[in-house]
Amino acid sequence: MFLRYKWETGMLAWAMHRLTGVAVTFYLFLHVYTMTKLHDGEAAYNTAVSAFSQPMWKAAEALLFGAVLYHAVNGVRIVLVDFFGAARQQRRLFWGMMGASAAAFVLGSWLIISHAVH
Amino acid sequence: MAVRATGNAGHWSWYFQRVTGIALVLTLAAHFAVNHFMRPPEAGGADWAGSLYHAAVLRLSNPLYKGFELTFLMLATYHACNGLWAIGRDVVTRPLARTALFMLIVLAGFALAVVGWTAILPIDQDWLARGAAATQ
Ligand code: HEM
Ligand code: HEM
Repeated sequence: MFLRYKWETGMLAWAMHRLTGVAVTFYLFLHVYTMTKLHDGEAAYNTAVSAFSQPMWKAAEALLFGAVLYHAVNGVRIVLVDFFGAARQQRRLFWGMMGASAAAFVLGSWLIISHAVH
Repeated sequence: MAVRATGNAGHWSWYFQRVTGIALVLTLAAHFAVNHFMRPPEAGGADWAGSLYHAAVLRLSNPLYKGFELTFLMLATYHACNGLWAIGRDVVTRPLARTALFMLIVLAGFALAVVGWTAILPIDQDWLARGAAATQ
C-alpha cells in the first residue's frame, strides 16, 4: 500500500518535470525570438513585449512562473537525492519542497497578477 | 541495455543535466529579480516608468550584464536540448529516427544560440537614439 503510493507520487513528479521542462523550452525559443525585435526600434520592441501586460498574458506569466518554479524545485530535489544521498528522506523532502513552492507560487502569482511587479 | 558508471555518453549527459540545472537556479533567479523587480539605476532606480526598450538597452549596454545574459542563454540552450534528447531517447526507438531527431535538436540548439547572440551582442548606449529614430 505504502510502496504503491510512493511510486505514484514519484511517477507524477517525473511526468510533471518532463511537462514543465518542455513547456519552458518552448517559452525559451519564443522569448529569444522576441529579443530580435530590439533591432526593429523602440516602438516595435515595446509593442512586442507589452502584449505581456494584457490580462490574459498575466495569467500565462503566472503559469510560466509556476512551471519554472516546479521544475527548479523538483530539479534541486533530484540533485539532492542523486548526489547527496537524500533517498531515505525522499517523501518528507518531496512534500516539504512542494509545500514551500506552492506557497511561493501563490505569492508570486499574486504579485504578477496584481501588477505589483512591473 | 548496457549501463556503465563511467565512460558512457549517457552518463555525462545525465551529469551535466544536473550541473547545468543547479547553475540555472542561480541565473534564473537573477534574471527574474532583474527583469521584474528592478529598473536600471541609470534610469533613476526602482520607480522609473520608462519604456521597456529603454530599460533593456540600458541593462544590456553594461558588458558584464550582457555577458551574464549570454552565459544564461548558453546554459539554458544546453540544458533544454540535452533534456529534449533525454526524452527523445526514451520515446523514439528506431535508429534512423533517433539520429534524425538528434540532428534536429542540435540544429535547433545552434539556431537558438545564434539568434540569441545576434539579438543582444551589438547593443550599446547608441541604441537609445537609434531605436527612437527607427520609430520615426
Ligand atoms: C531552474 C533550474 C533548473 C533545474 C534545477 C533543472 C533540473 C533538471 C534536472 C535535474 C533534470 C533531469 C531530470 C531527470 O534526469 O529525470 C532536468 C531535465 C530537464 N530540464 Fe531542467 N532544470 C532547470 C531549468 C530548466 C530550464 C530553464 C529548462 C528549459 C529551458 C529546462 C528543461 C528541461 C528539460 C526539457 C528536461 C528533460 C526532462 C526529462 O528528461 O524528463 N530545465 N532539469
Ligand atoms: C516572465 C518572465 C521574464 C521576463 C519579464 C524576461 C525578460 C527578459 C528581458 C527584458 C530580456 C532582455 C535582456 C534584459 O533586459 O535583461 C530577456 C532576455 C533573456 N531571457 Fe528572459 N524574461 C523572463 C523569463 C525568462 C525565462 C523563464 C527564461 C529561461 C528559460 C529566460 C531566458 C532569457 C534569455 C536566455 C535571455 C537572453 C536572450 C538573448 O540572448 O537574446 N527569460 N528576458
